[in-house]
Amino acid sequence: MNTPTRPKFGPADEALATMPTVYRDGLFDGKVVLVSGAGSGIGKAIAFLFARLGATLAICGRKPEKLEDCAEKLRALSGKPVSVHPMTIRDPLMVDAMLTEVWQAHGGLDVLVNNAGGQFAANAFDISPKGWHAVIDTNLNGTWYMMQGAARRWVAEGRRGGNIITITAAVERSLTQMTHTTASRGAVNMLSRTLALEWAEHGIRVNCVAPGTIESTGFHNYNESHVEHFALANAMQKTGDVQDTAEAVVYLAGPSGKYLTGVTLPVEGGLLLWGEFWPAGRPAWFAPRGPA
Amino acid sequence: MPEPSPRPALFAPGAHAGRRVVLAGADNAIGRAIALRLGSLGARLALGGADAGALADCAAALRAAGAGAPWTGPVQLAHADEAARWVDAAWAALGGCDLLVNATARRAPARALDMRLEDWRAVVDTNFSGAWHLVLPMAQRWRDSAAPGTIVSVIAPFQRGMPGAANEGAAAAGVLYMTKTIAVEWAAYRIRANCVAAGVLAGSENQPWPPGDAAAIAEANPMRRAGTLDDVADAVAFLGSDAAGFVTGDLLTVDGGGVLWGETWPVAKPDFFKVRT
Repeated sequence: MNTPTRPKFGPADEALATMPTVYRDGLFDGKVVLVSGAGSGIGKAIAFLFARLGATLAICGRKPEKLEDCAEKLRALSGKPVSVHPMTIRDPLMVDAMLTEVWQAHGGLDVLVNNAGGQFAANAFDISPKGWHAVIDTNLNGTWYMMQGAARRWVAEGRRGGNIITITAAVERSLTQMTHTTASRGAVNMLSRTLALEWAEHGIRVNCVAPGTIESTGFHNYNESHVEHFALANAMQKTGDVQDTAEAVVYLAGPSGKYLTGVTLPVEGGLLLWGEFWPAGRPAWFAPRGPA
Repeated sequence: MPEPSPRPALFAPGAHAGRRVVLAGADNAIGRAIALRLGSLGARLALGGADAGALADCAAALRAAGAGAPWTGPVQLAHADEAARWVDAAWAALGGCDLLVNATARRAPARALDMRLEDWRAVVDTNFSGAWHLVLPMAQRWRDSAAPGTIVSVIAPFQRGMPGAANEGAAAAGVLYMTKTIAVEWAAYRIRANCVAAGVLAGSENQPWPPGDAAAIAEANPMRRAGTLDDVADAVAFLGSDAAGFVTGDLLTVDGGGVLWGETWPVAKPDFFKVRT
């Protein structure tokens, strides 16, 4: 049922607010966390979990109404201030202005969660230059503007700290029919390793969480007949939920992550080992030919 | 189904002329193909393996190919002392060694829950510890004689795990990371070390698939075909040559893309993984 209270994919807000978590109340009391793309899907789940754990939140994204709706629920969960920043990370000037707002609103930032990103399923032959640039601009370039902007501010204020976590994807075995996102997510995984090294002297940690098929509103971007098969794309033969991703982010963001940098944490049910993922439908070439 | 097309020779005649090659695992099909490739390109060979009869067959094939008579000596690499003595004998027979190739590939597939301790030990002791029993005495000889050396190890394609062959996958991963470490430690002695991961190859008797599954396994990669023994022999000939003189600690995977897509089960595939389509 696709109703306002019960989305077809991923948990409704009420369910999201009470999903079980291993983390203790108050873990992020006094911490400021910025989550991009927090209006829906995985980003919203991350923001909800941080709010439940006591964080002060700043959320950004492209759609003001979704962000405002999310912010209201976050305030109810945390009792803390939540600032809302409608913008697109594709524009470096908007990123810079938004980060300045965040610093002004909260007096600083502790954790940057780069969740904003997206892709669409298409065979590589069919991706237009516009489609290619849209994905690369958001997933790679936008993420970079956010990282550099936050790190410059952390270094400028001389705080020796800062924590960047980016949601990428489990790409080591390729992601067929998502050439653009494979390229951009792989690039961010490696970008993060480079920055982990370069910015270690400033006490800034840089890590990634690499989901596989996580059931969220993002599934609406795919043809339903293909979504049915997503659960078969990994060894566990099930899709993950948004809390799987959010709890991985918290692990890296919290004191549990204090010795982790340059790491990509896969959250993919064994997709990197086994299974097939054909988000635009399996081509005949790859159909089973031998005995079942 | 597409078949591999015959291809012209890659290397110039005599590309390995005079190279002294010590080759363990010449008693299996991959090792034999490597011996024939290197021998045909002018290498002088010392061959080892557990199966003396198969070594004799390999030597006969080399002579028939006009590659000259190799030295042969049976060896069980699982025994460190025996491996060291074999290295000594091979070194003496060739008057030194330029290239050490290890194509040893013992297999004992079983579901992990059913795997007997002896099958774990047989594979790990031979493929993994055996690799160490081989490279250490050879590297010591290279160090002591101030001679450079090159090591190429052929391993199983373990990168996605090896369901049905936990012993083999663990051993292969162990050999790769042992290789990476010695590539660093022994670079000071002008020793290079690399690995070739070999996927499913036509004509390799060393791959006991369950009856009926051979065809499915052969096409379990994006190219949807088995490779050839030549594919791996060429990879070893490249990494063992001066063309790869700046390559060390690396893995060259020759598997038709099988690391990315396709599944091979050396035991009956569990129902859980029989995917609904």
